[in-house]
Amino acid sequence: MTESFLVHRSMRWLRWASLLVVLSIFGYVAQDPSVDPNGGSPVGYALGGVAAIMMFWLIWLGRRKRDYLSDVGTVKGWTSAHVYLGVALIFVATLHTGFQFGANVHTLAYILMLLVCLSGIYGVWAYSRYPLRINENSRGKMRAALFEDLKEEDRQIVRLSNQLGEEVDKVIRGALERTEIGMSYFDQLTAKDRSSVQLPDKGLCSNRDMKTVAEYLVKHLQNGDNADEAEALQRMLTLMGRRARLLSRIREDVRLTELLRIWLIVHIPFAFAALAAVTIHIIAVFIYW
Amino acid sequence: MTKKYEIAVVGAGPGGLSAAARAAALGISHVLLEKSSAIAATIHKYQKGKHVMAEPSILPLRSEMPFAQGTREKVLAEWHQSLREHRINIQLGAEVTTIDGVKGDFRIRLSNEEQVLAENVVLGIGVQGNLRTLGLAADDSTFVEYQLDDPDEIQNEMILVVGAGDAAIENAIALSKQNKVTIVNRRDEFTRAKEGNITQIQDAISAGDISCLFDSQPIGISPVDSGSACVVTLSTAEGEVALSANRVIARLGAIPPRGLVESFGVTFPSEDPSSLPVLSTRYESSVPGLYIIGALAGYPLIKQAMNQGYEVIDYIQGKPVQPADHDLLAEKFHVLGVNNSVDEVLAMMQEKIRLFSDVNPLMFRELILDSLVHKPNSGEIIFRKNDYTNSFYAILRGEVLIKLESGEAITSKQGDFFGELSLLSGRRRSATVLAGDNCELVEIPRRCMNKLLNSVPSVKQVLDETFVLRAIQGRFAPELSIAELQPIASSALINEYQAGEAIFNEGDDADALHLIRSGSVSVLKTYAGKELPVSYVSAGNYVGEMGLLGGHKRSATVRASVKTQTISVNTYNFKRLLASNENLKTRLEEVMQSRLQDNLSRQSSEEAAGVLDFLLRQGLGEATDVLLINKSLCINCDNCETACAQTHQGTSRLNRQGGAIFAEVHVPTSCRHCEDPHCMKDCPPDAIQRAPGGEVFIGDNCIGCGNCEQNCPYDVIQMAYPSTEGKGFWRALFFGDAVPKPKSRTATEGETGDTSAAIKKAVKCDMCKDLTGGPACVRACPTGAASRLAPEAFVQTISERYL
Amino acid sequence: MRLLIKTKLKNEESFQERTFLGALLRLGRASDQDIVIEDEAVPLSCCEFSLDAGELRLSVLGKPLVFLNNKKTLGARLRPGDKINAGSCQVTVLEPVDGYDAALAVFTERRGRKTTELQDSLRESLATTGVSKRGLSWLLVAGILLTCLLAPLLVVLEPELREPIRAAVMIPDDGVWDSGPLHNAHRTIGDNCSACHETPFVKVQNNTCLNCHQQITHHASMFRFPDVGLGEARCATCHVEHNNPSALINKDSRGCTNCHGDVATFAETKTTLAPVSDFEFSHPEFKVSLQVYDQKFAGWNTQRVSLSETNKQDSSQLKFPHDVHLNPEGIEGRDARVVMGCADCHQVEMGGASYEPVRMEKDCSGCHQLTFDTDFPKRQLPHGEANLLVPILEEFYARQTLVSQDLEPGRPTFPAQRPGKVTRMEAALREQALVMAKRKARSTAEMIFEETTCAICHDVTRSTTDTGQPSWTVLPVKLVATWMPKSIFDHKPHADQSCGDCHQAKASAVATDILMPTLASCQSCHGSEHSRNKVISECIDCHRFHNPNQGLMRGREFSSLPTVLNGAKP
Repeated sequence: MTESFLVHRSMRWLRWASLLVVLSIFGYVAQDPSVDPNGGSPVGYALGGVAAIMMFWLIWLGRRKRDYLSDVGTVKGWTSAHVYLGVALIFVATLHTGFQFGANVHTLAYILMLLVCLSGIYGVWAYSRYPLRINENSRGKMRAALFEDLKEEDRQIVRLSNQLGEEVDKVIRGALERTEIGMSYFDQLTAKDRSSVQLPDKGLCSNRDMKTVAEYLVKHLQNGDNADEAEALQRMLTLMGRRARLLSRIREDVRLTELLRIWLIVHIPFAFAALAAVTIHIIAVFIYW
Repeated sequence: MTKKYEIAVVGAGPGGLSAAARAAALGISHVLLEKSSAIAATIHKYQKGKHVMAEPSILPLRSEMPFAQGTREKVLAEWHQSLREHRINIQLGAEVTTIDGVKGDFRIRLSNEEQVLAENVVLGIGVQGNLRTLGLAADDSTFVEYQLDDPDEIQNEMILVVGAGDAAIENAIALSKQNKVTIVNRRDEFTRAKEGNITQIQDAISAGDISCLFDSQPIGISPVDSGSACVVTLSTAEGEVALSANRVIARLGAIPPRGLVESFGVTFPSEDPSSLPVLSTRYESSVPGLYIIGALAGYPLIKQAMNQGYEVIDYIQGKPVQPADHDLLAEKFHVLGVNNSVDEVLAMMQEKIRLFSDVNPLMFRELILDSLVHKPNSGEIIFRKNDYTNSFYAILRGEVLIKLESGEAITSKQGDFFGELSLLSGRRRSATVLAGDNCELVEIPRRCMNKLLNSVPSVKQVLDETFVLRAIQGRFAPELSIAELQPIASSALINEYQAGEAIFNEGDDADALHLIRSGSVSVLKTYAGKELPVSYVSAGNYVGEMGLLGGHKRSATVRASVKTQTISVNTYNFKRLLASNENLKTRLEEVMQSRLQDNLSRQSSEEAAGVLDFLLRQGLGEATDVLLINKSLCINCDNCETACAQTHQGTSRLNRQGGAIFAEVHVPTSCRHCEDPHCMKDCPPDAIQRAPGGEVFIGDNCIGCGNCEQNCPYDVIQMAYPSTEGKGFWRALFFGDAVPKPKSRTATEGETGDTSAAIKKAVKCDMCKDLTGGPACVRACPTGAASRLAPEAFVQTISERYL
Repeated sequence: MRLLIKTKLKNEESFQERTFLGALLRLGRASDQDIVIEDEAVPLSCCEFSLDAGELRLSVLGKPLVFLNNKKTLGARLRPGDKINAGSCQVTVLEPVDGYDAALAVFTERRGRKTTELQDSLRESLATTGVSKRGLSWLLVAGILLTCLLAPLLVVLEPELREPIRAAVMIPDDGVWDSGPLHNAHRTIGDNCSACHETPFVKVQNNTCLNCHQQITHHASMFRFPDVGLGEARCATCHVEHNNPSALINKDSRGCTNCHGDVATFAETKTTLAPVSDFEFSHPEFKVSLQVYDQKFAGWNTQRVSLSETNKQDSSQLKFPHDVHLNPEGIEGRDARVVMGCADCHQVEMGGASYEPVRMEKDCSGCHQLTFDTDFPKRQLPHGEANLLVPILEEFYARQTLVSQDLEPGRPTFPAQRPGKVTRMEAALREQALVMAKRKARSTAEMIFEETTCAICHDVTRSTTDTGQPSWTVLPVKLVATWMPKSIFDHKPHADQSCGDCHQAKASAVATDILMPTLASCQSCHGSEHSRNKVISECIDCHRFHNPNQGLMRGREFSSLPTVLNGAKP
């Protein structure tokens, strides 16, 4: 239906980026062999200059993205260029180093830039993989709709629970209230279920996938002899099963959504760090000319 | 003997107040009767601090009372002061039940059995009707409210909602989130409300979110000592019950005023509930001596009503006063270069343009006030084919040339009209129209014309007939003259179908060809027992020709995808058409062939059909441009919403979280720019317009009435305060929070601090018509997931994708 | 235990009473609690009441804020009158009532939300853990600025702080700016960046280099080429530091050929140097520096002659046939025939780069002895003292005739001398003896000068003095010490080759032959940098930049000189 940023304008930016990489490699190989290639050679300066300009431009995407009135290309076009030129930057900057590394700010800048580029590559991979999986997992529902479903499910459970004995009702209501989706961020990231339930005889126990409460209900079902109650309990078990599936779907949605953007926590701060390091690198180079 | 007043004014709204003030100023014996305990009840009930607009701004104010836009409090304070200064004789709590008698001797009976005698009566009672009250002594106490402005402002209270209609249910559900709500229903079940609301309230009651008292009615309200709560006594099936509550919200509906007015002997031109009483140019109704002003007379704006209040007194006094709009009209007519008076010009217009001859002169005057008078040079283009304008034109003098597809031009002469196709279908202009020699035109905006169509059946009839004639001529037989077509046209039928209704079914006998007048249809074929759409046909095109040309059975089912009107030509007449026109047959066969091919290729993909079906169910049948999100590319970054908010005063006009998804296609909650926009239907200041590019947008003159918000079936209009600019980008970059998050619908309300200065106005997508780069949402999408497409384009892209 | 519990909501008129039976009374927000507090601030399970030896005991679960009489508590024994606050709920311990173990009054300020909003509990992003992209950005940027910019900058800008910071182990100094190791020769500088980088944002100055390299010489004459100060070029243009692997000298020929490629334009009329841009393809033929004797001034002039000139001749004024000496069948030696090689005369200098000058005493006299009288084979004449030869011979023969017993036969006989009596000669006899000696000396000299000894190697001219005596002059000889003084040639790497590969001595019959190899000869092995099958040869492989003849650089900054000397130049 629509064109992805990766194939924007028949991969125009892939072509430009490839050209840049080829030119850089050519320039690097063709430079005077009597000097060891390094950042201070004419080719080195040229590569460094290009790489620095590219870095500033790549970071400028953050500005352009928020400049909603700008009509300098589309954000999609910028993203496309950002991705391909970002990958090209790895080549240009690596050639700029002349493969000379050391314990200094220059190599630090290079490593930071590399981290940014690599996290960005993960990002592209995530962007091409997770949106579909999110959509498949949620069966075409937005998160809010899933929660609406859950609320509806809870409503039905509470309604049915009213018909059961007071003790069972308490356990079920407690189980609903003690349902957790993300106690902590890392639970969310791993879709860990930390729900619990307080049983009258056992106290607080884990209620992963509503299993404990289901077991409790099954036990009740086995012990009871009231046909109406048995039927209600069986319906409750069905509802609990549906609720568990819905919850796991929500958890998976939360997990996938987070995976989709977690890389930004590396990409963006390290981009600024790399920018700072590169600025210092340039200052240092010219302080100690 | 009771005193007989010269003038009795009923209703102390803006019109009534103005009339009474004028009478007082002239020293005429008068009485102002108001049923409620305060003047200007409607404005009085506005939310605190609400901004009152003084539209239309071009119209001068002519009244003894002051009025300028400002807060509700300021306006009311001025009127109260003016009421005292003019020593207006006002009776509050005087509800009129009957009026009888004749001019010079009216007898007005009040609900408290008192009588008022008057020579003339001015009715300024508005259209709100009477809100039903609880009928208790405590009706006006601070605990009892008859409306709910913002449910989110109320928290942790015990609330009693009385009523079982939609308003009551919606209030109760909205309040139950943060309050303990009890709904009081007079009957034993909910029946009066919409189905969705009934389901919701029943769920809420069974879930215990809301408690409900059936067969109950409040019989007493008394405050408790602490003052912040009251005790409500109710009669229930089990006897009397006392409940404590922090507030009681009564939503018992209103009694519309038409019945009351008709009981006074005033006649209405049609049964249409929106039609207005028959009035003379001097606001006199069919009952001599009984004058009607304000909203009931069709003037919903405060300033108009006040002007009328002033004028009606002068008319009664026989003063030769020109209406306040006289100068405006004179200005309009200036272009015609005639020396006649305004009234003469208006009369001349009604005489020359047959369509308007039956229109009430007052209504016509109002119509012309909103219209434009043009005198274009010969050859000037009035509108172009595919323009998105939809005003209606009548020819006052001279002629115009309508260019047809074939290149020929039809001439339309004095008294004729044109532009009705776009007016009725909401589609683009179907032809270019050029001015002829000595041409003088009246351009009537779509809204005014629609109002006229609803209240004057003869206009509607003439227009419909012309529409059919022209549609048939334009689509099938441009070579034939109107006279030749007349018999065919007069036998054609105008059919109306609700969304989803079948126009004809696969396998039916082919009996007619349908020309789609408005709306759109989907063509469906039964495939493995399932009905799947194969095509989508928009207004201005026709369906059903295959059956007529090819076989005798329908080859596919055609259903209205939205509310649709078609013009059907039956087999007999169609054959006559074919016979009279040799080219027509070949042309139709060409169309048929390409359709057959389309259908064949499309029905082979169930998936494409599924997506098409989904989109049509999302109302894309009446869309002209819709925002679609490709879920396989969407990364939930919300940049589209942020972009929208940032380019539109801080409020996003699209809700990415909303809307439905099918396969990978997501239709977020965002304006579809309907062919016949629902939002435009009832906009008092005519603030909703269609730009030449097709964008439906809301102008600055929005008065915040919220009609459009309610009329939109897609929930894409919201009421919001214009927000101040966020922090600068760099500040945001370094310290955060600069780019304000797009506000959710609930958050917009009450969150923006200074409510006294601003009012909530309706906001909706305008497709960024003022930005050079096009829609900001699409341009801001980093992955290319968002796109805006016309229906034809998405049908095309879906076919390409799945075939 | 049996407890009486009175509960009341804020909006309610009166307390509702109920009886609790059980071992544990649980209080919390969840529905499964015995006392349910609908307040978001109260955890699902908050605290428990139990009976312990007849006394009511409170234990708080987890870490919620529960206050006992306005003090935070984790559990305590309760007495009547105690007030416990948790969120909006206040529990008061009442005086015991008959029939109950204890009584509690529970008052709740307001109602919380009806349903637990799971959605609200989502930690929507990492930001909720306190790690935000912005925060992290600031942290990283600030850290990098501090360690990699601020600390080194202090070192650079604040001389007082320089040493303390460098000395501190934990504080980064300008070492983080060091882009690579120093060349081995410069390692004595250590980490002291400012030793060379004296002023920030100014390139390393030549004077800084000259502080140590005091004896370094100029490239070209400062007087003839005041503006061949090499313009932009600095010491560091060729001497590149901080590279890894380290190469202190940039051998790139382009530094030279930039000027020398078009030297005519560059140096205008001030030089006769031919343009050169490449060794293999555009190098001019070698020139040798020949010594030419100027009769007029009786001195030697140096003459540059290109090897491409056809009539080039060495003018050392010596007779030396290389072919005779190098005859593979040998040459007549002093005692026998000997086969000679190059090394018999040309000895390698210490270091092996070049050869010691050939000296008659050292290299020739083994064979070429300066004897003059076969009767006295051990007597030799001094070399190089032609003027003294005749007197020496006269003295020699005078002594023979006057004194010596071993005079040759046929000499005049003198009266026998008496022992103990000084031999005395008669004047006539003496005169006669001296004449005889003189005659003998002259004939011997004539033979030596004109036929044997001297004449073998030297050109000798005979003249007659005013007194009518003959006299001989040996033409001065000067062997070329350095044939190609403008370049350096190291024989050592070429030691594996035979001399004849480059020097065609075996075919040379006369000493006027110039045996230096030509450009083509070198080019057979040496090529330009682009050569595929030849030794890549840069300019500085043969030519030295720092010309020892051009005086010291020190104290004379290139650029400052021209204005002084050449103020007229635009």
